[in-house]
Amino acid sequence: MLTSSSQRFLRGFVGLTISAFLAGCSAHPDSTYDTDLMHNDFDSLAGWLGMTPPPSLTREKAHSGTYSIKVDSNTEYSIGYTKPLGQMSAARVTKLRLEAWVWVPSPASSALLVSTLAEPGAKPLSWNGFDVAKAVTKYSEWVHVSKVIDVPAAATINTLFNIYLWRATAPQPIYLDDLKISAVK
Amino acid sequence: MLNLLSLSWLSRPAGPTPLATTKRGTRTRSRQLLVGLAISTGLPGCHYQAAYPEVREHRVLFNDFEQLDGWLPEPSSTLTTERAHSGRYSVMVDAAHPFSITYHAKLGELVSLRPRRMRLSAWIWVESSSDDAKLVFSATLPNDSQGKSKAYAQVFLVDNWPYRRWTHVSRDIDLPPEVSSQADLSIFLWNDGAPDRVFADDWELTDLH
Repeated sequence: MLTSSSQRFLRGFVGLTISAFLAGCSAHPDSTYDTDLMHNDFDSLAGWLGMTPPPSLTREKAHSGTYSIKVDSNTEYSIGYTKPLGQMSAARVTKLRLEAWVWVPSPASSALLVSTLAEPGAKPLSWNGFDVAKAVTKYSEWVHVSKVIDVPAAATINTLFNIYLWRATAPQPIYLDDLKISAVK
Repeated sequence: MLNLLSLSWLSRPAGPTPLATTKRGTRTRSRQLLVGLAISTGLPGCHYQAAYPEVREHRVLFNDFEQLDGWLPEPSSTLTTERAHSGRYSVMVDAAHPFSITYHAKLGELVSLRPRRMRLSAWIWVESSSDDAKLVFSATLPNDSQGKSKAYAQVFLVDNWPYRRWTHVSRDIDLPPEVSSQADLSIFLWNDGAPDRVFADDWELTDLH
């Protein structure tokens, strides 16, 4: 025999389980425990990156807000993010999750979300090119993509983490918005 | 409170505002502002609508500085997590870093119609009355070889009290006709000899039409 409050609890629990399951379809189930280290919707950068606006910061398309970043036949590299690991996270990170929303025009496109880890002025400890165009199955619409990269054991607090979009062989523009980096627990 | 402040700005005596008022002028104006504030608190809100139906504000810039770190072409010590009005970051200037990171934009890319008046505002934190730092607005024309400012205005940070806490500052800037849509705007924080660190967060530029 269930009391009304425990029935309510059970109903709530079932509801929670269902919504958690549904959320799991679009996101990764373990992301709840990740630590958000950086996110950017690219809506606060315009005007602050110098006298000349960077061509990769665009209002042509956006997943959120007004701006996204793009690469195309005239724009080989997007603007990038650079930060020492020790300033991104107080605790040592072994894996980083890269997440973004991308807009890819066709299966013939290719653009790499490049992330590197390097000691200042030295050869990279790691170089990772995540082909975002290969990660999508739908074209000409915004799609969420995600990838986990390893942080080498040799990385220190001074190791620079760098991430940017590289055109590779994209004949048409590829757009990226809402970039997020988190530490995988 | 903020609405009342902007109301009091509008209810100050009519007349053209000089582009670069002297400090004394601005101080006098802050006194007028206080009087205006006192008067406007006693007025019903509908008065504003009736008296200034043509005034429509349009925000063309807002930055809480939360998403700049790591994305600037060069890391800047003027982007800091030491204090913040909102979030974690604000902009700081001191004797070693007299000029902050700077906002640049072509006027024509911010607005479709050339505004006659804009309002620059921010939340600021100053240590004492001797910290005479300024939030600077400047508009230059690209074909001007001398790069002379056609509209230059400073928001004086020490004119506002209380000190040692976050305070809202605001100034309306008249744009003369020669400031075309091709004009280059720049906005930055200037230490100007302030002995202590000065902070500014949540910068906002609105088009007042």
